[in-house]
Amino acid sequence: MLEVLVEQRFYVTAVLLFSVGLAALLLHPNLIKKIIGLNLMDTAVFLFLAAMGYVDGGKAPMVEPGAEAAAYINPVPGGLVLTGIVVAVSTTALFLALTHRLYQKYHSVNLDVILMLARRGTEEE
Amino acid sequence: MSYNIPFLSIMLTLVSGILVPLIRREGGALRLIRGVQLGVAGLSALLLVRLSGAGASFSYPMGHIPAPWGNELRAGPLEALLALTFSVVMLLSLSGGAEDLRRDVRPDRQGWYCLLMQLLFGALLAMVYTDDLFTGYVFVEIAAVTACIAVAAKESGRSVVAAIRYLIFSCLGSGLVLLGIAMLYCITGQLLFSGLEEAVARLVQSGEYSLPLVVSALLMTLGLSIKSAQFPFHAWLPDAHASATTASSAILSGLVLKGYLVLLLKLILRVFGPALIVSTYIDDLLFLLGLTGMLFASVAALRQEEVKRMIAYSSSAQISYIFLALGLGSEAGWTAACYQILAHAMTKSMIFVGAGEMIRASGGHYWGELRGAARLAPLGGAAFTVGGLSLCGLPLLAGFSAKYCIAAAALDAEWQTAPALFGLAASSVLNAMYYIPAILAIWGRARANEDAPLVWMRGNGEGKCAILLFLAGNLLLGTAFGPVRGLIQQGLSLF
Repeated sequence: MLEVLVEQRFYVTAVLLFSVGLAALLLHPNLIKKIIGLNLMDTAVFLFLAAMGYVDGGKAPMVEPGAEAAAYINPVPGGLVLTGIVVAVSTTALFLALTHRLYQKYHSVNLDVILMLARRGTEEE
Repeated sequence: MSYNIPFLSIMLTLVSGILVPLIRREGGALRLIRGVQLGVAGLSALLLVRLSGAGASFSYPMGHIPAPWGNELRAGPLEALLALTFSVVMLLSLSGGAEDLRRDVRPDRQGWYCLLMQLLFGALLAMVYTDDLFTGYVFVEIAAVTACIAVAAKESGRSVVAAIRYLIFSCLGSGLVLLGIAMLYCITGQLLFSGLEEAVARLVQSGEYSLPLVVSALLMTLGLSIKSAQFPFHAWLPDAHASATTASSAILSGLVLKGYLVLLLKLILRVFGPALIVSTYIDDLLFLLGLTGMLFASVAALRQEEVKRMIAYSSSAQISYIFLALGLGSEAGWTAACYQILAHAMTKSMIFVGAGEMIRASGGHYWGELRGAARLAPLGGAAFTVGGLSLCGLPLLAGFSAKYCIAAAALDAEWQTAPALFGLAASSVLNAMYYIPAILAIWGRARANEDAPLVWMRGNGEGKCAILLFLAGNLLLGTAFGPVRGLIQQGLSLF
């Protein structure tokens, strides 16, 4: 059991990180912590992808004449991770921008408080 | 020439979107993007005619890099039909909502709003045409981010709160999809749908990695269900769709939810294959989600005091029809799902545009304030009435044809026949229970014994044209049942 855990340590860590991130994103009322949770979740998937593309003893995938394909790690997951990072950065930026807007309006980053204030605001309108 | 249409429409949309904020002239930005959308609609129609005439579909390797390495687009009659409907609905929603857009979005931001809409449209087109799983994921994200900003574009406190809740659910959904994709790539080593199809079939045959395969299918199904607001993951939808400006609401409800479903349909048919989906009971899961959704969301809609919230809940109920049809797990079921995608895109955008007209004319969001609103905005009222009746299932309208298609497909199902027919009947009654009183209220008098003549307001010609075209489109989908279903069936058989 322990041996499997050590052998699969990247995947185990990825699953743990994903669960922690998911819990934070869903359960934490603080928006900043939600954003951190979201980033943890994305990072977990990147770790999963990167670990998957790793070939034991493989080099960076830049072709050298004469070397066999097995000498390199798989470049595709690396490409996917790069794309994923771009996506994660843009959603984080949007999330932060919206949080900032809400903070200016309601002076709180707690979603429960904001929802309460927003509901009261609509009733007063 | 028609070979380049899929790529050309996506590229044209994205490039024009990026250029649009540079336009300084008032109203120029909106005119440009609508022009591009009209062009894309024309090109898609041409593609549809060519492909359905030839009964063919084709793959388009980007940059002529061959299959396992390159990125591919794929087009057949179904893709062309979806692209045509999406571009027409997009164009009509933006025209119908143009008047509200001028009020809700600051003048200096309108160029940026147009940029968003164009990126969203490009993302939808890409989801329709793409043949690559990861490209699909990237455009799912682009659609999600642009849709969130479109909700927040009104810049009221309520819409920003709604946008942030939308974003949380959206991120959750895309996280699950990404994890599913990573797992699938891990066991197959493929990302193109064509390669995945073969690899998955090989895995199923050899019985290897059956658990990761099912988990990855479940993760992606779950992620896309969250994004398309299927009950019980619909908590974000009513606020997001109700607090946005008219054009945003119409596009979000009518199109964005459908984009994810098109991707789900592609995953079911092209990647996992119907046999695997049926043998792992994922189709039953979809069916049950759809069945509960169409009842619960309709009951929730009954209780809404606000017109746009009611329409938003009704969207969630209508999305459930698509899930129900997908869950039938048969060729007829998928055809019905596609028909419902088209019919609901046409109907729901029309209802939102009509409601927007009435809200503008009467100045209120709540039913109490909307009494007699249709007399102040007859065309808006007509759009709401026809749309509502269409969703209740009045023959000759789009909603009826879609329901007929689903019911016909349910008759051939195994155990699903009785629950599906019960669900359809019950949900139609529920639809009627909230739409008919609403329709009576808007055409009634604001106060008893008060004379309320119909008021025909001048101006806003584009909005009126858009509503008339929406009405025509609805009738067309309702009456031209045979040809449209034929096109969908042809498209699915070429998938």
